[in-house]
Amino acid sequence: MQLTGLKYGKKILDMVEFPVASMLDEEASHDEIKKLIDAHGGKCVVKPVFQGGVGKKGKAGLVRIVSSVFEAIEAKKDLFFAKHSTAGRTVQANGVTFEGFIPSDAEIYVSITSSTILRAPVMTIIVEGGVDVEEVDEDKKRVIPFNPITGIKTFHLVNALNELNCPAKYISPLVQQLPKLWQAYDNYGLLTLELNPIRMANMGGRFVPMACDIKVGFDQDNPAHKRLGYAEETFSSDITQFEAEVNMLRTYQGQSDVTELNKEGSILPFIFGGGANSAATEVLGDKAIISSDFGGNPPYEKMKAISDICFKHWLKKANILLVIGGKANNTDIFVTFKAIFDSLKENIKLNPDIQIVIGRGGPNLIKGMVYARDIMDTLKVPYRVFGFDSSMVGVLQYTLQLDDWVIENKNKLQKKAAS
Amino acid sequence: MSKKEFKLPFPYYVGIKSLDEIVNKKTRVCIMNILGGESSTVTPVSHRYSGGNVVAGVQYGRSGSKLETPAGDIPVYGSIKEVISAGHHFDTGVVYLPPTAVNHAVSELCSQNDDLKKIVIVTEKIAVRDARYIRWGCQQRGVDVFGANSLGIANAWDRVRVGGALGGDKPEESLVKGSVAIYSNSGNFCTTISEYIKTAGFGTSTILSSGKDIYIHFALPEFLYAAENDPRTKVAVVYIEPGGYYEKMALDWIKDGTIPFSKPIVAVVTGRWKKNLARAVGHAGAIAGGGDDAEAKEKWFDTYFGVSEFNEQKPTNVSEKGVRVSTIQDIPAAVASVMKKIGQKSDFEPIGDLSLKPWFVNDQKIEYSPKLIIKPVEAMSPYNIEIKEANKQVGGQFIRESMRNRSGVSYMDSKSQITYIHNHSLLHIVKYPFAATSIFAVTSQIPDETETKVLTPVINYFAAKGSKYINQAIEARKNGASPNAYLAASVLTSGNNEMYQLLTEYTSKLIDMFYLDIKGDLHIKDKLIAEKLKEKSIFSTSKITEEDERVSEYLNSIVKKYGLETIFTRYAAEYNLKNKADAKRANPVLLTIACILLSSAWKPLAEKQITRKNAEDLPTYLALNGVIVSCAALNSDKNSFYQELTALKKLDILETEFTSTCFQVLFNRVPEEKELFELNALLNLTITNGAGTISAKGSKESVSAGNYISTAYAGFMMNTGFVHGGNGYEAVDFLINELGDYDPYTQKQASWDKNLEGMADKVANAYNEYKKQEKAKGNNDYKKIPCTNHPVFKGKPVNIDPREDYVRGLFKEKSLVNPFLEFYHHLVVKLHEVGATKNVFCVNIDAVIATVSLGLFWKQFKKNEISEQEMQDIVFTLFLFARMVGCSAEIADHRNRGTNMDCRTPASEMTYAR
Repeated sequence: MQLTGLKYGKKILDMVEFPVASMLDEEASHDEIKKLIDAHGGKCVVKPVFQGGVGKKGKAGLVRIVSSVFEAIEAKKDLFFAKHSTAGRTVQANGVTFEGFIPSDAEIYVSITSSTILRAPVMTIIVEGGVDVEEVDEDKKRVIPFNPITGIKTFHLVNALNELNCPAKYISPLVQQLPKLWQAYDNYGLLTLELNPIRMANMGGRFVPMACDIKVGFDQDNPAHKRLGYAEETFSSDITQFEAEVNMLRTYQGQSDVTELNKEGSILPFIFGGGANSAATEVLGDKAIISSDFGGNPPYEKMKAISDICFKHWLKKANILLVIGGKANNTDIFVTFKAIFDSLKENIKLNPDIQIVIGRGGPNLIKGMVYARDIMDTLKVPYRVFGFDSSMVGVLQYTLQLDDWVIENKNKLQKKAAS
Repeated sequence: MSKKEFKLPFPYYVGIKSLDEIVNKKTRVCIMNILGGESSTVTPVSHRYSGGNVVAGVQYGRSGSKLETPAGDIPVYGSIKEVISAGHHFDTGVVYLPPTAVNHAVSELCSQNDDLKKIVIVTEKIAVRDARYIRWGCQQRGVDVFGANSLGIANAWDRVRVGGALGGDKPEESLVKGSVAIYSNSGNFCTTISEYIKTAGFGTSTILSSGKDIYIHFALPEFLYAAENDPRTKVAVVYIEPGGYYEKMALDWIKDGTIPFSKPIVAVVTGRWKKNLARAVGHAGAIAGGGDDAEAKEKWFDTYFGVSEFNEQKPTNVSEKGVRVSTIQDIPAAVASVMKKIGQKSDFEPIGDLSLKPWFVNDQKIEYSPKLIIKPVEAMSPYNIEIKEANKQVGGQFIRESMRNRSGVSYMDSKSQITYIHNHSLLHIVKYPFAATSIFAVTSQIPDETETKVLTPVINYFAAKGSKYINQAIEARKNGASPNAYLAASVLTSGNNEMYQLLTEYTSKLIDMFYLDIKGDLHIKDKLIAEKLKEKSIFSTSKITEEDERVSEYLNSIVKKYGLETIFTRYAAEYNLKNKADAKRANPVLLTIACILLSSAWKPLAEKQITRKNAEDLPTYLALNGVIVSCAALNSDKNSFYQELTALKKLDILETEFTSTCFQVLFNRVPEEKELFELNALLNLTITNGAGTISAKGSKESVSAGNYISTAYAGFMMNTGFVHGGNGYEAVDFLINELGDYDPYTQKQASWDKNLEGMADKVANAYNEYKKQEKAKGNNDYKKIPCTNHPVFKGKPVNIDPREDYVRGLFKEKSLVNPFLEFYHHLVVKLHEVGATKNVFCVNIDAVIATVSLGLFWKQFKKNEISEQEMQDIVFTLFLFARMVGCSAEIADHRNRGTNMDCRTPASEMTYAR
């Protein structure tokens, strides 16, 4: 769950009274845009609005600085449905913001994250905004760990800003405002908070740090983010319809993590366990329609509901249903297999030609396997069921070979089924 | 083992110096949420395996409870304070609480127990905010935390596991003593890797499931430091996922000497595919940022090892520092190579291998390419024995759960209001013979026409035998009891009689005798029958009469007549013949019946569609239906059909269609074909209205209380009455009153339409006047016309109840016209025309029931051959006939799936009405 840009992010900063650049959305009238431009030294910034977390907009030329209403409207036309490819995926904008241009001779990068090196929250400061934090030399940034109970203190910030040669006139305004970001981070269930850039607005001789862009990641497991009242669709580009349906089942007992990988894939994998999820998805590559982790001993009802959703979306497309996991510690194989195969029984009409490969170990293994076997026999689907004494990767590789063969022999198989 | 002097090298608190300190024989444990779902399954196994190391558990609000384990009961307290006050000492807390409670539990453990050294957090999906508070608090307190989302730690040398379920339900199998320490981001892979390395002859020292949240409190640097100081450990296997810099820190600290570490590592990093994900899938912390994706981590390890990825073809290409493998299946070979490199031997002879060994295969006759053809192999011990045992399992299995407001057999579609039973809509089953429906309710499969002809004599035989309880009904009826009460009296009296018991026993023994040999195949196998016939003494016996012999032979002849002999019916026939002279043999008629019914239930049983219990109980359900039908006979002493049926002299009467039996016991006459069709439709249409009806609930609640099937039948009847079942008469009464002297059956059918329309017009006008007057009086609770309108099928200019429409259409297909139903259709139109209703109301499904009932006894009513009381009783009884079938399905379902007392409403859900 991520969001980016001031249209959505302003709300979080307003909650802790952190100053934000003036902003209008795509509904703004010409008059309003004109007033915004006039109030900001004759300039405003036009940016596309993306849902979910999207970075590197500036580098992609998707940020326009304009100086007239005409230019602003032209930029709006260009950017409203702009496409942006980043981190291996392409997203499309649906709207723009008009943001007051803030003249400033300094730009600041600030973020708060959880550091796995220091095992504490850290604030990272760079006195050079609009940068990619990974590309900045170590000596140009300061990573400040701090006590999560007390939050970040002004002396932490003063020391860091001094070390980074921040212009003296900006130090006091920054140390007054930056600690507020911890309140936002801690109170609303954030995983990452990045303001990039902050520009220093001169308000009649008094400098105020203004957030000009924001990127936020939320902790799915912390309900505090609900206090912000964002509509579900704010994060909708993060997830597909299929993922959304499965996510509805998210509870602490039993995993229900899925991600849609390749709609054109041919293997529908039900993966159990985080380790198996990583390993299996890697081996299956593009052939996997989804990646999933259904481990954590899900109760029957949950597993059945997940199976129903998976089959509804993908069974028809799949050549192979793969149920794969290591030797479970606690996940009851009978309960999970019963749920999966009860659901398969109900949905088999979607794809009576499905082939099934199972590789699994764990409590109630034989009871579960025999249950699955009996249903597969009844449904007259071909299957191979491997125990945990067969290599999981071996089972995955066998599944890939089987899938290749099914693709090559699809016509033959269809004729046989028809006869 | 001598310990070195340690100087802790970490910039943060770490209490563990050696892996063998984390958990060992001295570890004493207290478990938070010990009685929760996961702990109550896992803890007994852990406690037994670890020799009883759990001193106490905490369950808020459950002080004084206990958790039973094979190693003795574990006392349960309401808080850590209570545990300490009771004199228990423990150094390790294990937290199984839901995510939002974990932070608080950690605080409680830290603040209430001075002896605390370690906390294992099993819970997953803990908020990162809580994780950092836990980190901070435990650092201040000086407590090592494992997890969260850890499956715990296991020490194979000391046979101890703490926390989660490492090794599953058979820890001895996976946790074999050896020289490999395992650190894994995946709990499952802890056990899987333990299994894998056994194939190279290696066991484990300590296995640690680190968890893979963003905060890993006891991470790789601490683990490797402790592994170095553990004399049992010769090599560390680490399983790593993307996200986090824990591994880089560990390797950097080894390189710069912060951590002394000299043992080899075999590392596997997975999750390259996660590089482009914006959110975690699987483990919460397995989401990479800038430089901590899988590829980066592989480079960290490769640089540290100084050799490239392990290649089984070149096993010597490993360094003394270890090697990275691409997948977990390469771990055994890599461990063997690394051990060889440092001059260490394996711990034991290799156990098994990782080649593909399918335990079950079915190609469904598909001609695969040779490389894909794979033969099943016998599973390793003890799974091979379990498979053999499981293969003996007959019928489906269900997970027991609360079935209080649930049903596995019926549901009503809220939009169409159509009820489904075993996924068949009532509209679909309406045309099947009622006898077939009676079987279908329990077996979930509708017998075909020929099979129904074989089953019908059995069902009628039960009706004949059920008549022995009619005196209870007669007595109760004399005392003014309603049909549900007097029929329940008969049913209750039948209890768990000898016939029910013998039929259940015979069925059960037949299953045991034949299942493994025939599986789903009912074809006659003479050799097998001959073999089984040698086991004559297995059945209990009862007093055998001439009638038993006669009926048995008759039923057998019916089976042959319709060509439906099965291995069971042939067995019964030959058994009865062979043992005729033996006084201690199975009752011949009951054995024959058991065989006929088992043949009918065999396919769904073999296909696991129904449970073994269903098949065993099927005769009892049908026998109880027989009690209800025969004991419902009005004036039984004058009812020639009843007399003939129960006398069982002329056995051809057993072939009477069961719907006709139901008709004749009530009306004492042979039904016309039209009547038979309508009654059959009526009965099938009424068998269920979903498990939420109070009649169904009555039967389910009785099962929940642990009663015999007969008592559960009484339960359904006790939950019917004058407003549920008996209310059908209201519409009959309405029609009788409104139609007055008009008798459609004395007139030509061609004239009905006009006459009925005229009658409807009068009734509509009169009702409109009545309604106006009542409204003028301010009475909005005026009488409504029964069987019109419906809360769902309303609001359109012309409304239709699709269920009624379907049945009416079905009647029309058969050229059947029910004048009373047609009257209703005229009436709803006229009511609208005169302004009594805003639109044309629907004629609802209850009208079918009322009008069909009225049609059945109309002629006798007009001849004064039937009293109003009898008509009321008949309408109610027809409802009971139908519902006995629906409720048999619910009872069977609840017996299969429910738990004891599951229909109870918890006190917390009850309110006190003042």
